[in-house]
Amino acid sequence: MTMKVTVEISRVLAAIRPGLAERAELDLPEGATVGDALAAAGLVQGLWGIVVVGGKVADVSTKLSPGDKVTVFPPVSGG
Amino acid sequence: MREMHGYAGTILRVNLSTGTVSREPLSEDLVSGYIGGRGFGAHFIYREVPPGTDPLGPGNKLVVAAGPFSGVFLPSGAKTSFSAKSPATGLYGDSNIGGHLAGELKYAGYDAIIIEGRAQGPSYLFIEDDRVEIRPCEKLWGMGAIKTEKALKDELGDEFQIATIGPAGENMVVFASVNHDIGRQAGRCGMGAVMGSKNLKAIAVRGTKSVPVADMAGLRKVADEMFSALAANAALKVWQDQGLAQVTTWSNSIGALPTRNFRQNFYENAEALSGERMRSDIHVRDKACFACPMATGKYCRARHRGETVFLEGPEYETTALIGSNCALGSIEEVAYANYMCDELGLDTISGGSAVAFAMECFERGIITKEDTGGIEARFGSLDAFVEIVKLIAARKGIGEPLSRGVRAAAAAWGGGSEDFAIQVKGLEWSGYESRGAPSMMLAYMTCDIGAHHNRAWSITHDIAVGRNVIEGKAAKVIELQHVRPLFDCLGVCRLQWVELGLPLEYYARLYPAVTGRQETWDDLLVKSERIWNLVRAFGVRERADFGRADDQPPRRFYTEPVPDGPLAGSRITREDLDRLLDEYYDLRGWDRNGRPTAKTLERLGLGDVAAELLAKGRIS
Repeated sequence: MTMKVTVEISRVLAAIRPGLAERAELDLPEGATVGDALAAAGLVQGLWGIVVVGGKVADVSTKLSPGDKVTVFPPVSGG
Repeated sequence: MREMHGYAGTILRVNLSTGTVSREPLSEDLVSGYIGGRGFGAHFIYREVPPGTDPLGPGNKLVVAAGPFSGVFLPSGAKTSFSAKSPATGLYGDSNIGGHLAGELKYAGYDAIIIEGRAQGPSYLFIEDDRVEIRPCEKLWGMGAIKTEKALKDELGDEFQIATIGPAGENMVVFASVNHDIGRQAGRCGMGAVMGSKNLKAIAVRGTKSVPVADMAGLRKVADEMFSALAANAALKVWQDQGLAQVTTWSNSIGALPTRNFRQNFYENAEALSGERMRSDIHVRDKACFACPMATGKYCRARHRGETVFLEGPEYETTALIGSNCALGSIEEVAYANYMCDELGLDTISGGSAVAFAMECFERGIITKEDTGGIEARFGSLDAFVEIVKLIAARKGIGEPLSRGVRAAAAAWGGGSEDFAIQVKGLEWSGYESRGAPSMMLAYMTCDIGAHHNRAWSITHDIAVGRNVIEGKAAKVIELQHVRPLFDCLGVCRLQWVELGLPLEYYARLYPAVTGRQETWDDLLVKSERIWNLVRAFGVRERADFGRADDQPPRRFYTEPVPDGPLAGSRITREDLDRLLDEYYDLRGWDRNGRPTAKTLERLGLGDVAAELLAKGRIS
């Protein structure tokens, strides 16, 4: 069984590498985590700062549910 | 004369030597060429501070400038730029500050103040709309920066916005800061020392006028969209909770956290310095700059040896340079050290770096307890930190060479310490160790004011495209060096864009709405490139030998592999650095010695600058 999950990458983060989409619709296996979704969206470790799922701050081990939206922000750039 | 939408319309010129105050109408050439803020600073410093001027003499000028977005109803139009010839680098320098000063300056009727000369005795500049006075202030001289601001607010009223210096500025420490809003600093490049050299303790401003905008309905529409987007932003809450302190954990995890004078980039005790610990252990309340919903300012409490102090901070840069770089043990220790720097009026980045440099010199035996006056200057000691920054601010003992920056201190102490004096152009390196991030390394090497991250921050680009990849990195650095400083010209904070992802299109729409100028974002980027080249030209005009040699990182970064942490064993090679620079210069239209060609300057509307440098034989 798979589930549909959306990953939204903030525009400023998507701009750092050609081909990184601002929005990705993913089919992931049931029980997949935020880390799985980020990897499937093409994000390697260190690229993300804050990750939000369902309005709450999440981390890579957070389990996803069908229909979840994962919003990804860049690490702080120090202004 | 047509109304200048988005601008107050007047430059205030104050000569402290003669006591004269004059007003100049804002010229169309200045606005269309240089936008505001840092752009105004670059223009006036290049045009009015001739080569050879002593940065700490009366011939230097200090430009305090707002931008067209400052004080206007849009998210965080809060930035004021301070520009001068830097005593830290001997080159053009600037630093900006948030808070509430920029709008107040425009409401008083001025887009910028040009401060010249040197007052006979301690003075402050009083501005209340059309009333401008140079007032004596003997009783404030020697007072801490935070206490001075409070004293002036008590005397003048809370509605005055105040920029002040501490003892370090009075004593002309080359990394003395300008302080404002009880805890914000224009910290870099020694703008506080320039104020001190002019006997100028503070600037107090109150304004009751308004700023004309071209299209009020259009402005409100875009601003409403921006505020709504920010309010709905999923990450806003984290920013409101932790502010910039949240980055410490991430920076450590990717091997970028300066540790023990940049010997390492991973701190085993980083968890004790995290944003979460700031929030749970020492946080008191949140604080925001003008019209900002992010409220990244964090008022904190710190206790040390029976004393309790309150301060704004520590944010990431302070945590990195004072915390891990001096190997302090807790966020409360960092906060106390932060308070000491704020009150003394020292940049926490250069200040932290200077202390870390002294600690490494001490541990290596290059300086001894005899030199330090008995201070056991070892990593991890808050007591040592406090004693050393006091000596720096007073310019006594080991504080004297350190007060001139780590480059000068290394020249004084020798013993191979030049290799680990972590600076470029004389400005200490800010909070990202970059042996594993070539584009970030290049960003520091080529930053126009010295080793600062504000012009280009590109570590995520290195992570995304490959941390050992060299090709193509220069283009990203140049792109960022034009976009990010544009915010400093417009007088608006860039956190809403770069951290919360507010699209740049909003700012492109704001510009014509505020100013009435039908120019695109790309048009503005050309101006930003012009300013970048004008600043470079300042260095070329200043020194016959200025160029590629000024764009070099310390030897540590290409001779010592990272000893531990996630990037253990990695380093960047001398050959890689040369490739990065060659590619960068070529893309910029500079020669391989890092000097803009006449053709490049002419393309950017700087034909007179090209002619001046050609006549001197400095460019071809």
